[in-house]
Amino acid sequence: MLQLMINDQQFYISDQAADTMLLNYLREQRGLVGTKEGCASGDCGACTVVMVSADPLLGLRYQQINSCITPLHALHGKQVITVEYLKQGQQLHPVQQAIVDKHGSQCGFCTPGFVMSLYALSRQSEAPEHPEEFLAGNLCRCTGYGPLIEVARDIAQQGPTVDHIQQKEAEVKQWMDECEGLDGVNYWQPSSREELAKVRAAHPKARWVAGATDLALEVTQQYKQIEQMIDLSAVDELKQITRIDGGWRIGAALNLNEVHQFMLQHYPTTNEIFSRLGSLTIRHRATLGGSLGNASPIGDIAPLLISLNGKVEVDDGKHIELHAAEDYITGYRQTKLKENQWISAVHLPDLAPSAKHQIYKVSKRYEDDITTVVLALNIQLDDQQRVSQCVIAAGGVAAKSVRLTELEQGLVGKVFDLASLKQVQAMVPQYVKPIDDVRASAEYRVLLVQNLLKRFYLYCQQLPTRLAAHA
Amino acid sequence: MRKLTTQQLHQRAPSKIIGQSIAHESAAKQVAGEALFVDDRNLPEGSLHAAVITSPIAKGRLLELKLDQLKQHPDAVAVFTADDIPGHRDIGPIFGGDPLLCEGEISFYGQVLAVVVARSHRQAWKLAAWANQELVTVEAEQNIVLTAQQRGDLSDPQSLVRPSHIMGQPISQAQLEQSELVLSGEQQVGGQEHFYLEGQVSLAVPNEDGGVLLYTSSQHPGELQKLIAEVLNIALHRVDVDMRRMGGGFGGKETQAAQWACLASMAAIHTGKAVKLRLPRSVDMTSTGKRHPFYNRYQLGVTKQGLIESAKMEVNGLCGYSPDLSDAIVDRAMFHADNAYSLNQAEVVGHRLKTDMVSHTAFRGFGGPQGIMLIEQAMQDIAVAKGLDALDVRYKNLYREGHATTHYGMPVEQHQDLKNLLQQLEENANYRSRREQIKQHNRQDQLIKKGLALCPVKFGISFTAQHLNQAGALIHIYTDGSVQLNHGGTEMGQGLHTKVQQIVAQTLGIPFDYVLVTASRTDKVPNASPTAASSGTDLNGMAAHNAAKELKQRLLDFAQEHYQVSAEQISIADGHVLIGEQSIAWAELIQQAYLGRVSLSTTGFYKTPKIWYDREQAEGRPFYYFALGAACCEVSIDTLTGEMTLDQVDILHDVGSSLNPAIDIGQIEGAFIQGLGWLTTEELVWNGDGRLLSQSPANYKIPSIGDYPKQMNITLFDQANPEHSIFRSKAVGEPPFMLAIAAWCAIYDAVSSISEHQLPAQLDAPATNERILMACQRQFAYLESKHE
Repeated sequence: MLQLMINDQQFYISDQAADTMLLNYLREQRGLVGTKEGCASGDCGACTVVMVSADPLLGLRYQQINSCITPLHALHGKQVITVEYLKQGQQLHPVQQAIVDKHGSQCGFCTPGFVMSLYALSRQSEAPEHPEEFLAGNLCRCTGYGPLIEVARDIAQQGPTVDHIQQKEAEVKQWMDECEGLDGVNYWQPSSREELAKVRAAHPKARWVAGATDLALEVTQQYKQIEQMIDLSAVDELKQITRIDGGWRIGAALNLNEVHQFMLQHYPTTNEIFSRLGSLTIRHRATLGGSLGNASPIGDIAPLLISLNGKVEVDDGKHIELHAAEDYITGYRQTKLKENQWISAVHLPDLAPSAKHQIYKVSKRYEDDITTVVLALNIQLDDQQRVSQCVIAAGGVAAKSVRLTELEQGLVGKVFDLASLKQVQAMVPQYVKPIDDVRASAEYRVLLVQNLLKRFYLYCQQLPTRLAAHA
Repeated sequence: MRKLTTQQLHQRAPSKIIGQSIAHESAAKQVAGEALFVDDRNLPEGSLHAAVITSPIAKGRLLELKLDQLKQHPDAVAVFTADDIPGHRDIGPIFGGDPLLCEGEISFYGQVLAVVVARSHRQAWKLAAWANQELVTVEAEQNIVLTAQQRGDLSDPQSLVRPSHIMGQPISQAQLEQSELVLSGEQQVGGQEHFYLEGQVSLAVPNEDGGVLLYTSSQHPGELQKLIAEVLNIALHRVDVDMRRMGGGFGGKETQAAQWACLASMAAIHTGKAVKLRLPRSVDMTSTGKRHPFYNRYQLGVTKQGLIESAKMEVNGLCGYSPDLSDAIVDRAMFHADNAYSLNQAEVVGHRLKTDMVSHTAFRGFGGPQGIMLIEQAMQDIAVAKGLDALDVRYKNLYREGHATTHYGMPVEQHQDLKNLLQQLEENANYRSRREQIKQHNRQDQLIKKGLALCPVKFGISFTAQHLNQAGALIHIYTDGSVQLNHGGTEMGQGLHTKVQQIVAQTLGIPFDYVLVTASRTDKVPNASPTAASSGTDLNGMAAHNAAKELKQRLLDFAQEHYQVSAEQISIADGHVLIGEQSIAWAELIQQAYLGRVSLSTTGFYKTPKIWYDREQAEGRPFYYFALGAACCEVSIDTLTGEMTLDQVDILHDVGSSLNPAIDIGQIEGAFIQGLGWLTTEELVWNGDGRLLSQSPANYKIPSIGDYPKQMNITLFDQANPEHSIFRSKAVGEPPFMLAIAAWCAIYDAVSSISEHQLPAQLDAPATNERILMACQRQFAYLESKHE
């Protein structure tokens, strides 16, 4: 039985298909039509709701998610807060009142989504440095965002306030504690490696799902039916970050926001790529494993891993295999993963103190956009200032994320000066053969690779190279 | 007690509702998720859902659609094709050419071939997806035309959806060459997807008279009523259209809502059930028209000082396969090819090019932005050619004494105000000192270049189709004193209902919340014009004002007789009626009037005065007045990648006497950001086969919160409209959209700073990262060629 709390009501559900999305359930089955469908692809945020989950250390956590691409069953044992729950009697919630006071709604269609992202912001125990980031997954076509940015900043400044929802936290938590494992018909959510292997063996045709931010599009955009799903996101072994010899093992089912927070501490050069990967709303659901499993040619995770000499850990319940990141993805949306295997973790060696690491993403829009070109570089110099080790990885320039070994060879053993930069730039057209597509021309992509090499060179010369960050 | 109150009331000035920043009438409902959109409505028992099967090619013929197979599917309730249309098969708004359903000939990718009806939205669209993939056979033609360049001879009538038009006098080469300098330039200006957050949707409920009650999201309910009646082959009085609010319109629901309304209505009539048709986002983006892409050219004769002496301007709208509103849209581009500048001797030509794509349509600005882009690029080009600051070129060429008539013969009466506005903004934004700082920065920084531009906007207000400049309103006063208000306009977020509510409350002398604006309905206010051309408040506000004035007069007449006092002794303010020394509540007067058998309901009507236009002669006063504004933008570009940031925006904009400053500033801010998207990140991409590739928010990027400028200052230019508009306000919907052209000009400025403004920037719109970088590359190449 799927157990779910929507606002303050508990539901026990056994009649929903595995591929039923939360948004459709809310609107069509529960009559909660305050939550809107704008795109059904997780891009516009009109469908935003807040997911409340229990964290053993932090208590209840409030995170905004896209209900349009979240499978209903993925919310087993969680509370979902929709816009209808904020107002009490005739009294608007302070977050709602703030939007009214600042004239932050015009047509009003995106508004409930903004309300929920702002509500999630209001529930954070520590105010984020850039509160607007909470709204990066919400599009508004009317206001131009000014009033909504003001509201976000005010909320962050005020810090958490006590509201009627928080007053009921103890009850919610108790309900969560009492929830048993999901006992679904076509949707399984195992909690251990052994159980996972067992479920896999019993249901070889079921699709893997973690955050579903990509998989759900098959349902919502292509109208496919996905009859069976195995949800990896409750498996303990897939949700841990552990210190291993000379590096870290990061569980594949951690959401990207959690990974981002970890990476900020240990691999700070990756901050920009994580903060621009989807929106925060998406990062609350998307995972490392999901990104690698989809093996999209423009996924930013693979080039990042390659540049950090990362490895992909796959498992079948008995044997664990490690693949170098650049070997793991074999072609357009093709990987080495066998049917009975799942991606269990990513291994990252520590970054050498002398390593110069950067990852650059160029996309049409700065935030929440698919990459045009991503270039990741990691070099080390010997005491003669010669390049001793070099990794150059790219996304958006081929059918898969690639390691540009020829360019690396062009640099190894040389002093990284203007002359060697020019040399390696000149090699680019020979080895980088992108295509024209909706995002950019092949010509632009080649030029970008050349110029991003220059940006890296300037960075190594400690010259400022970047436009100040957005927002 | 009462007497005391009366005394105090006498001393208090009646509170002013007009000019107050009252929150949007639906704001509290919107934030609570209680504001209902069509898709949120409870459906009648047994309601059905429709989906559309669409063309997989841009041009050719539909050979076969396996209807039997589709009909036999257990989920399919019904399937309809063109053969099932009882009446008109063409829903073209003015000229025809838009088949409701494909009749064999396919004219664009995504054209609707047939409708399938099922019991749920998902079932219907699943069937449509299956039919699209497996049941449709087509024959594709080659030689898809998507650009002006592919069109070849732009004036060839075969290439056009409507005849070409010319304003002004033909300018010969010899005439151009009389000037010191002859400058020429060209540009591609991209189109734009509306991306209203609420997609197209209609819910048709059959009624007992063989017609329907239609709930929809449309800027033009009156036209839907007419088209539905024609399609169903019934009289208009059997069709009612109810339109409470749109989740955004921007022009995309002016004509483009009609097809879905007609299809849902036809399916409802045939099945006898309520039918809802809601487009999924990718279908909406593929199958509905967008802002017209344009290809523009100019040739200017310019004096030594940078003054335009003669101008040959050519604007080419890429219209798609049919006329839709393209005639008027290209006309508006032509009307605005001068923006705020005297072209002196001018020839302005407009071509309406036929292309093998969806028929492009209205979008905020209605061709005006595309026209203004041409002259604003010319201003930048002149500045480069003459080594002047582009702002000084703009000042020189502004409409001015002796040069204050447009190329279509309309006087620009507020030219001095426009100059004042520019000067005020120049000062507020510290234009000159920032220019110096930017010069210095650009000398020092080889990588990041900064650009600055300050541009005016002058935008003509009125429909250029004269008959549309009329409006109606209906006001009921109920016996408790509450007032229900309807008018012909529609609410799409712009705050129209809020403003009209303010107008009626002010006119009647009652508090704002005594008045309730309800859904726009064709059975309350008939034959209404679309809510478009920024005219919503000007027209409907005045019609409602007229209705309110009429009712108030009735009440005053009644009170005069009832209380036996003179007219001067009666006044109504704040919901209190003062009659001599006595004060009674509004509701009490209403009850007395009711008992006294006074009619408490009336209509109001308004038509815009002064306007006329003789298209044959291309001369007249097509606009009641001009809305004015200016923006100053500062950008930084990364010359390695073409990435851009908008560092500061200062806007000074003229809304006359503001009816509601908060709403007006919201319109200005939203329009600017929407314009910014049009000119930077929003790129429509079709492949060679005519398939739209940018058909989802994953690959069509409207501005997100991170694109908000680092600094944004918006000020209202506080000056009453010299024309007798409603409370001397000015229209605000479209004009500020074009303020964003200053951002494009600033990018131009940053790019050409690479050559120290020796070489004009060659920068088509939208100025995506890619286009910016390629424009930088040309500057670098020029520098290199100079070194050699």
